[in-house]
Amino acid sequence: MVTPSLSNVVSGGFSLLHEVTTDAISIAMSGNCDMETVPLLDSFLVALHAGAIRTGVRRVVFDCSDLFFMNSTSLKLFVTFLAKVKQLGADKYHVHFKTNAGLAWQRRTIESLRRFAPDVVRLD
Amino acid sequence: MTSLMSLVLDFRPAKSIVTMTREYLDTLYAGLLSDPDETYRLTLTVHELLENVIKYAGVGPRHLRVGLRSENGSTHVQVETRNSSSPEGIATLQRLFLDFAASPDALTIYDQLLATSFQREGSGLGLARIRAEADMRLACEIDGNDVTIRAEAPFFSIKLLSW
Repeated sequence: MVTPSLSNVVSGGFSLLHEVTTDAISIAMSGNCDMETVPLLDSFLVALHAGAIRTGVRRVVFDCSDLFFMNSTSLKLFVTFLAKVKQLGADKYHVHFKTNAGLAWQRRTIESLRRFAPDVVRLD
Repeated sequence: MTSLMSLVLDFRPAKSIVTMTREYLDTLYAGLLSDPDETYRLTLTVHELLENVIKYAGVGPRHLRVGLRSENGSTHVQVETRNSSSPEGIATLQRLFLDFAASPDALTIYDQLLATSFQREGSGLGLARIRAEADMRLACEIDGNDVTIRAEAPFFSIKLLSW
């Protein structure tokens, strides 16, 4: 199996931990996406997109169960990421977000990402 | 109009203060509001306004006030930041508020800014998000180099109305 060459991120209470299966890369997000974690998320999403293309997975799954907050700059990074996925056209992979119903913000915020890229984003 | 409660924070521009303040207010308001969505709307507003102050404020004092006030039988939440800004920053802000006023609704301009946000810095996305996601009214006052941004909305799940 081709590997995505992706490094996990752990910084304070923030982490991005990935797992690769035959058809998906899954990322468990936890903590807060804020001003301090923006550079970490930025680098991770760039490497993730390259890794997803290299491995040919059909799905990238963000598990947001333990993600407590996302600021607008991080949202902007996800828009940049999704714009690159959209540009792949027929070769695109789908981006799934697993949300936590107990965290009131997630549906509103992630719904805005789905509106930006309805053909790419799936809400689980 | 009666003030029920007011918290004031004067701060230095440290990134860590943003999340720290949001988490503190999240805990405090979770005890005052029975609807977690209203707590989220408040803390999102505080977070985005504070980040803007950290990123764009000039020299001088930086000020945050979070208050609850009673008006005509309903309770309003008000979040306000005050700081100095450069003439360019003030001009950008004024343009943004004109765009807000010209847009048919908060969600339309938020989606427009979101879709183009990766192409530019200082897109105003945080303020647009406060209007669209936190459903708060936003106002901007300019006095010389001083900028006051005020977000306000009626909240309905206040537990301690007997105040």
